[in-house]
Amino acid sequence: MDNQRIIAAGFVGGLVAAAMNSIPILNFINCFCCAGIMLGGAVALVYYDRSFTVREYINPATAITIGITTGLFGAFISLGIDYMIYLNFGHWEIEFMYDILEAMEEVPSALEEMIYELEQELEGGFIWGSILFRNLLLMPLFCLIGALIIRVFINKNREESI
Amino acid sequence: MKSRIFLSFHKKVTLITFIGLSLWIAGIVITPILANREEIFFQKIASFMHFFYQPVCHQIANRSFLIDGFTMTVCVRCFAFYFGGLFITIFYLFKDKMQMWSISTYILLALPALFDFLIEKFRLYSNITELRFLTGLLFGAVLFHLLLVSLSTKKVKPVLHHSKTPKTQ
Repeated sequence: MDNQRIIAAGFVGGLVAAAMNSIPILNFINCFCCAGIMLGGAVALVYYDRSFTVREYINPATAITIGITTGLFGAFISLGIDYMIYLNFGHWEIEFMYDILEAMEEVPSALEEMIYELEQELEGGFIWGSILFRNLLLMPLFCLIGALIIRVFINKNREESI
Repeated sequence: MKSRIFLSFHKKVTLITFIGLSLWIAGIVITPILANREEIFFQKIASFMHFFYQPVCHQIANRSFLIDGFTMTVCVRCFAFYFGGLFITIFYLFKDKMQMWSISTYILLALPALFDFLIEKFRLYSNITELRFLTGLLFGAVLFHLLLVSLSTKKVKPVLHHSKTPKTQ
């Protein structure tokens, strides 16, 4: 494993995953089994593979390392994009949550209070911690899946070419 | 004397995937049950779970399964993805060998979900729950089969990597 290449690949993949996770229209692709975030992991592994002139089989360990690195980069970049969107457009996610609640058949009264509390927490900056926590758990997981899946096809391609 | 249970590498990998996937699905199913409880504490947990799963699904209520009048944290299609994955991991827990399927098999199983997703986006038809579930199930099986194959194959050829930029002497 080449750490420098892994970090470079992780950063490129992280940019893709973060864009797919945070940019409002692009993130609709995640409705299809989190495909956008998985794409980040896949892009990172392809980038890593392409950085060698003599290419060979990729270990599961390499794919796992690249997937997790990509997810970690993606989590922080995604938070940055979320913050920029917040500065320009405000809490559009709260509006989205209101829409979901309105569509629910049965909404307990406590939920109204919870939304109010959430708004208060948003003002206090708590939500950024929550978003980062969520990103740090979800993005490495799905980037890892994306990297592992693309690894199968890269290795299969390699077998055929040998 | 201690008795040991020996598991092959692919079974260990499958078992770990099965446990992880089961926990993930448990989170999806348990949320509406918690939301239905009267205690504020459980409702807060349910609310956090919806927030947690939000990046992986649109969570539109009329496209999700309901338990006690409350929606799951993911839609029908996403739930089917994970459920399909669970099926395939259970299947491979009882199989000794893991092999990659042909590319055409993967495409054949994955395309219905992709078409269903795209056709719906172009609004040619909408909201056929059974179709979403069925196509999602097949796609999930493909996805998790690929994941298991990737994790189970350790084949490595000891060839040195060469950088694109050769070192100058």
